[in-house]
Amino acid sequence: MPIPDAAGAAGAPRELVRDRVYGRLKDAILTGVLLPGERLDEAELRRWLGVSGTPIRQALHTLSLEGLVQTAPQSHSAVIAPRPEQAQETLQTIGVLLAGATLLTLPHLGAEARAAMGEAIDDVIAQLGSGDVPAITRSAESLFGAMLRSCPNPVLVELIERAAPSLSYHVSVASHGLNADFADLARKYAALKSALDRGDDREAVIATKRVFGVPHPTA
Amino acid sequence: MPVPGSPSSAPVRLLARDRAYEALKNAILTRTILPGERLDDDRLQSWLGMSKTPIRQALHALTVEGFVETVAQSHTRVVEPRAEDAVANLQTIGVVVLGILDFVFEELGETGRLDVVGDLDRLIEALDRLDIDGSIAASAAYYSRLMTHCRNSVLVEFSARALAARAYYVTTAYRALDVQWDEAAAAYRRLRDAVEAGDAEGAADATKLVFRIELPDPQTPGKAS
Repeated sequence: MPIPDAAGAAGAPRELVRDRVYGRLKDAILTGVLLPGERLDEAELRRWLGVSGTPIRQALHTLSLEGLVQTAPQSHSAVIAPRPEQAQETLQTIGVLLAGATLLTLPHLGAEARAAMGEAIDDVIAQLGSGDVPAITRSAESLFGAMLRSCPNPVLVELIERAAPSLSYHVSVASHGLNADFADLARKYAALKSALDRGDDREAVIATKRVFGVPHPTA
Repeated sequence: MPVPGSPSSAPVRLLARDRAYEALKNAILTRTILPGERLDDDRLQSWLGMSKTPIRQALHALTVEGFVETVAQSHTRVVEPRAEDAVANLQTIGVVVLGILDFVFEELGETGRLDVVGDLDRLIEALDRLDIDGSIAASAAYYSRLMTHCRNSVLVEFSARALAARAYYVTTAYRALDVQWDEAAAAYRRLRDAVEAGDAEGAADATKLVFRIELPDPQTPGKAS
């Protein structure tokens, strides 16, 4: 789904066991090694990761705060099973954040950067035409990733980069809950490009909302 | 400074970890524990009457949320927000509030709009009195009302979780700095009038002013209708 990758969370020189366990579990969830809804048995995880129960419980707790794992008292943990009816709302939440990043970034974006963004949009539109979902996702990620690199507000960028993996997982796993109409989406991206070309920043923010299905009361 | 507070909608759970989390977060938000204050394991254990493990877990959750940080030698302390980050935090909250407003504005209807205008009147009054606690409380009422009208539950949950710490940074920074009372009151007045008139675009622009977000096309200021 069209949202940027998290910033390279490369290993710090002395990674805590907890952080390593967290990283491996998160990777396993995001890459589908662990499936949505799959039960996370502590004994099995201990054997797989070769660590004690404490870092595993801590990592599961962190992942539950991020919305990737569900835990219940007196019960086992499981990989989150995103509900299809929430896919649309999650996509809209991503849209709120990216429309905000667009709003903050555009006043600072020069002609060259706008042109580069226009090319990135052309790429998204081309991929939408091919219907190749992973390619569509990659092209949209690269478009909004470029936007975030130009965003002057580091707090917002950090918030988006931290939230992105979980939000994007929720959308992609439950994407059958969306009625993805690629031709319609391509028209919305074309409107975004045209607004950027005209230097109509207000319209560009609205176009970004439309791409993600965020309502715009004045539209 | 008026920013959305976190709605205290803690799930009713019995885990010690969750109780420790709620107690600590509440103590931080009510300034029982101050910004920069060190969180000592032993003292927390006797205060909360529980063992080290749930307290550590709670501290970890608060670290993930951004209320608490670990410094050298694994001391834990409450984050001490930097004044120079206040605008970036404020804008970030503003981005989410603008999104919520997009969902809420049409839903409000006439009665809802009147309620919101009432909230904003109380907020403006507090700002006119230069009453920081009053304005924080009044803004919390306004932003909770927006949240309760928002039908996108994912967005509401996300904002409550992700913005609580940012709101804390901003209020802390504003307590330490001089609040621009006139500027804040003027922005909220503009918001109030736009809401009363049912002018969605005007309300969004006034919200941008409140959160110090540049209007996208300053050459065509406010299409007041």
